[in-house]
Formats: sequence, structure tokens, C-alpha cells
Amino acid sequence: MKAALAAIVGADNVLDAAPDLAPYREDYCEADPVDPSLVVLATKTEEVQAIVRLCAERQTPITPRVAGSNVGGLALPAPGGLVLDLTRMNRIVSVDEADMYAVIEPGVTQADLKRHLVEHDIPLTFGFSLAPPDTSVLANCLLGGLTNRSLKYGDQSQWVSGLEVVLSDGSLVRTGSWALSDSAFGLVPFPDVSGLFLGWQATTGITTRMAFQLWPRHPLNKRLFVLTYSAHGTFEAVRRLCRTELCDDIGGLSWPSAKMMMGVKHPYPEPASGEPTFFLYVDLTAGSEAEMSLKERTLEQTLADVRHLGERIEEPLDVATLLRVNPALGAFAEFPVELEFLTNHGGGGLTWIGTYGPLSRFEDGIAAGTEIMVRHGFPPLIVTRPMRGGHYGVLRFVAIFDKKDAAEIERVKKLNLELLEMVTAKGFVMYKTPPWAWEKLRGRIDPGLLALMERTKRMLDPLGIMNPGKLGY
Amino acid sequence: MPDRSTAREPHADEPSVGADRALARRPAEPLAARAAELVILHEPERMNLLGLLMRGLLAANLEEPALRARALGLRASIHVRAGDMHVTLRFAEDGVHISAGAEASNARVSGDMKALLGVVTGAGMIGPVLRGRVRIGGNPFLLLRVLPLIRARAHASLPPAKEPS
Ligand SMILES: Cc1cc2nc3c(=O)[nH]c(=O)nc-3n(C[C@H](O)[C@H](O)[C@H](O)COP(=O)(O)OP(=O)(O)OC[C@H]3O[C@@H](n4cnc5c(N)ncnc54)[C@H](O)[C@@H]3O)c2cc1C
Repeated sequence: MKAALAAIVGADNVLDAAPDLAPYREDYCEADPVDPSLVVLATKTEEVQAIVRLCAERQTPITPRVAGSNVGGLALPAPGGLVLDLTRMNRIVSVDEADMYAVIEPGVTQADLKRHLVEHDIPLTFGFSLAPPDTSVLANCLLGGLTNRSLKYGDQSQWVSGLEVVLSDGSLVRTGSWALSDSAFGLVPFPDVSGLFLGWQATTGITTRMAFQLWPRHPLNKRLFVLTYSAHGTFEAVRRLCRTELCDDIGGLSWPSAKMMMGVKHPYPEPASGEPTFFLYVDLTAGSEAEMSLKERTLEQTLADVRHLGERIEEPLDVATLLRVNPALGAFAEFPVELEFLTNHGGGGLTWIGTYGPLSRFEDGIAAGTEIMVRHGFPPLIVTRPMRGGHYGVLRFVAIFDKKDAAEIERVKKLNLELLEMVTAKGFVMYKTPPWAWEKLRGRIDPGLLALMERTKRMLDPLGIMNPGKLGY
Repeated sequence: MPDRSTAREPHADEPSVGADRALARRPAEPLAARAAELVILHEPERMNLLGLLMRGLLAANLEEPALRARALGLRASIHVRAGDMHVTLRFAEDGVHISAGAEASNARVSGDMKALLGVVTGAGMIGPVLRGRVRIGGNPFLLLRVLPLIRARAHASLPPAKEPS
């Protein structure tokens, strides 16, 4: 296998020494490490096709990976399987400024794309996740991830306007308008089969190029922080702000996040008395001062309306003010960002139950999740954001842990299991679902959907070589 | 009152309910390290946001020799309240002790978070006091001496103001 792969990509791009394989055997989360047999680095679509054909011939499982930061074991190989490292396939093929889309390869990171747009003075932007700057934009679109433009435009899979995918037999397919047109403007009007690859966790194909929509970058922007003192007040404000349709983003973080950012690794699980419970960061953008001022006044009026209901909400604080007080709070000054308190805290472990669900139930989910986290001895680190105009939102319970501490790993497993049960019972759906969670949820998912997925999977990957072990396959 | 022997313990990685030599750094930065060590946070895991903000401000300011001398020369306690969060800053010969809650103090300052942040970022004290957004009590001269110690400085490490995304 090694020699055959070397013939495709060159011997230097095939790794089999234990130290080289080590970074690929795990990710941030509590999933057990899995050793790949080999890692192969590809640089172009033809190589990916040839590698997949070879894997099909040899019936070798193949798992694509970029930064491996998905926090769910989704890029961990099947035992003895091969990892296809796509970090070097990192071309920004084109940016169509007039029609506001970009065509990119899998290895293009958040930082790369931002740099490109800024350096070329292109007045467009995209959405940034809170994931490290080196994570793949394409992977997050395939996974339906969330960003600071998800309030306006939904999860990232909704921005995809065309895919180029290598199927399990090595053949290539293009979805969306660029199946016919030279413009990848959208997924309409042909029957759209992009859904065969979105949310499938690489179990149906390997995407080698993606067209996706960019959005105008407005000349004026502001990030304002609002401290709130109850979950109800917080989400009443969030729901009302969504209906003003004036905010670009309304991120919400529970109180431990600020403490962890300021260097307290293990905040006591209960808040100190009198402390705010949530921090909302509200992004406003505008084309003129007048527009910005109108948006700010509407924000202030909306908060005042919620205060009249008896809720305590502080006046908005400009991020620049907070930054002057404590540079550690600058993590939220500019995206993309490396949230060191999550990724570089010494213990190495990061895990979460991340869900999408109805905004009307957030208070309920937060109360139950907080109780569970505190009972398990974890500070209730919660990340929220309304999405797609407020039709739904993300509710994510985050825990950091020490990867070297077996007992702590068991503790986070129990925590996650209980959180999963709770959120599912309340109607939330876990996104980027890790294999363990899929197994738990399987019995409750509509059998018709499972059967159709099964048939789809068999059609697209009859040999079962595409990222086995995910979504129950 | 904090246990002074616990307060002397070096900052440990594992959770502790003792005191944390704030932002302790390596000997490569002796001045900063000494300054940071002069800010003694009591029960860091339970400290409120206000106390953590104060720690950052004091640790940065105590890098300035003049401000450090001023802090070490004071023998007084100040009670700061932002909204419902209280901290007491106690200026002692070994440094500035920050503890959550309202302890006996020589001077008091309180207001909502935005008004207090305005004060520390340079809006001055007089205007907000006259407008009733910040209230002061006790020894006003002491407050004037302490104000520069909790005023935000232009941090060298700050990124230039850019668009958030
Ligand atoms: C601190 C932190 C914060 C985060 N915040 C957010 C957030 O705010 N929003 C959010 O959405 N996510 C967030 N994440 C999760 C994570 O970063 C995203 O899921 C990210 O998109 C994964 O990118 P990656 O390059 O790490 O992909 P990987 O982890 O390498 O891969 C992810 C999945 O995509 C598959 N895949 C990779 N390339 C291809 C391809 N070419 N074709 C088909 N399948 C492929 C992999 O097999 C795997 O199943 C965060 C992660 C961290 C560590």
C-alpha cells in the first residue's frame, strides 16, 4: 500500500513512522485514540481520486482530515485505516467578487481565506467559527457548523453553492449550478444532490472543491458586550433582538467563560454572588454612521424593553473598552481566534454537547444543563447563538479536562451522556454527532430516515470504505 | 481574613481555594513578575468578575515603579462595588490583596459596570459622581490616590482596533 501511495503522491507524502502518525490518532475530545496504518498527504483532486481508487481496490478505510479540530472524533480513522491529510490542498481557486462567492479547496483555513480577502482588498467576508484559525472552512460547511454570520445566514452548509466530490469509486461529481454553468452561483435549479455530502461526515465522498457564498463586508462595525443576570432576561432579549433583524450576531457565553479567559482554570461551579450570568456579544455592521446609530439605538431600546419586564441587563459595553481593561478579553475583539482557555489549558482535553434547537426552549435547556454540569463538578460553560434569523439556535455545553487523567475522562463521558439525554428530551438535536452519541440516538431517530440513509450509504459506498464508524456505518 | 501562609503559597496549577499570585510569570520578566506577585487574589476560583478585572488592572499598573511605590506605601482598604459585585482591595506592605465581598474599608466606590469601566478607562471620577452614576464614600483623598492604580493603561500587547471579523 505504501509503495502504491508513494507512486501517486511521492514517497515524502506518505507517513508511516509512529511519531508522524501520532497527531492523527486523536483529537481534542475524549474519544479513544485510534492508530492509522498510514497517512497520505494529497495536493490535488486527481491524487485524491487515485488514492480513493486504490483504497477501493484494497478495501482500505479512508478518513479525510484537515485540522482535526471537530471535537467529536469525526476525523479519527477506523482501526488500521488510512488518513488522507488535506492540509496541503489549500488553494483559494477563485473569488467572484461580483457574484459574491469563492471556490476553495479543503485545506483553506479560516485564517487563509480572511487574509486573502483582506490582502486583495475584496469588500466581502464570510462567517468565522470560534474554532482555531487553522481549521478548514470547507469542513465546517460540510458539517453544518456555526459562525458569527449564522444569525443572518444560517449554518454554514446553507452557504454552499456547489461541491466537487470524489466518490468511493474515484469518480468525480459536481453539484449545483456549476454542473452546467461556469458560475457556481447556487444549488438551484437542478435536483440538488449536495445533501448527499452535507452532514454525512465523509461517509459518502471526499469533497475536493467547494463553492460557497460570501457576504458584504460593511465599512462600519461594532462589537458590543451586554452583561445579563438571568437566563430568561438573556434569551428574552435575544429573541427580541432577532426580530429587529438588525444584528449580525448575538453570541452568548455563560459566566465561567470570562473567568477562564482571565486565567482561572477551574472556576468554582457556582457563580459568585451578584455576578452576571451571561455575556452577550452583539455585532452590528453598517454602511453609514446614521445606520449604525439607528441600530445602536434599537439595541438599547430593545434592552430597555426587557428591563421593563423586571429583568436586569447592563448597558452595552464596547469591546474596545473591555480590551483596555483586560487584554485577555480581546479574544472576542477579532475573528478568527485561538481560544486558548479551551485549546491550551494544559490538560489538552476539550469536549461538548453541541446542539441546535428552538430558541423558545433555551432557558429550560440551560437550567437543566447547568444543574447537570454543576452536579458533575464542571463549571457550566455554555455557548449560545441564535441562527437563521432566530428560527433556531445553538446551545452548547462545554467542558475542558485532563487527557492524562483516566478518571476525569470517565467523568466527562458521564457528563456528556447525561447532557445528551437531557437536550434530546427537550427537543434539541446534537450537531457534528460523534459516533457514541449517534449510537445513543439511533433508536429514537425516525426509522424511515435511517432506512433511507442506509440505502443512500450503500449506493454511494458499497464497500464501506468511506470514514467507517461514523453515523453508525 | 485570608490565611497569610496560604496566601504565600506559589500559584499551583490545580484548583486551590488559597491565594493566587496573579499572572505569575517566569524570571525572564523580573519586573512584570514582581509586579504581578504583588497582587494577591484570595480564593481565585471563587473570585467574581470584578475582582478578576481589578487584578488585571493592578498587575499591569504595578509594573510602573512610581505606581508600585504608591501602592506599597498605602495602608488602607477600598471597597469597590459594580452592580451587585463587591470586592475589597487591601493595600498592605506585601502587596494589594483582593478579596470578594465588602470588608471594613476606608473608602468606597460603587456604580454600574459601565460607569465604573468608564472611570478606569479614563473618563475621570468627577463627572460620573456629579451625574450620580458613581457613588463614593469614606476618604475621598484616598480614592484619588488609588485611582491611578486601577486605571487602564494603553497595553503594549493590544492588537490595533480592527473590524471584528
Ligand atoms: C476551540 C474550538 C472552538 C470551536 N468552535 C466552533 C464554532 O464556533 N463553530 C463550529 O461550527 N465549530 C466549532 N469548532 C469545531 C471545529 O473546529 C469545526 O468542526 C471545524 O470545522 C473542523 O475543521 P477541521 O479542519 O478541524 O476538520 P476536521 O476535524 O479535520 O474534519 C472534520 C470532519 O470533516 C471531514 N472532512 C474533512 N475534510 C473533508 C473533505 N474534504 N471531504 C469530506 N469530509 C471531510 C472529516 O473526516 C471529519 O469527519 C470548534 C473547535 C474548537 C477546537
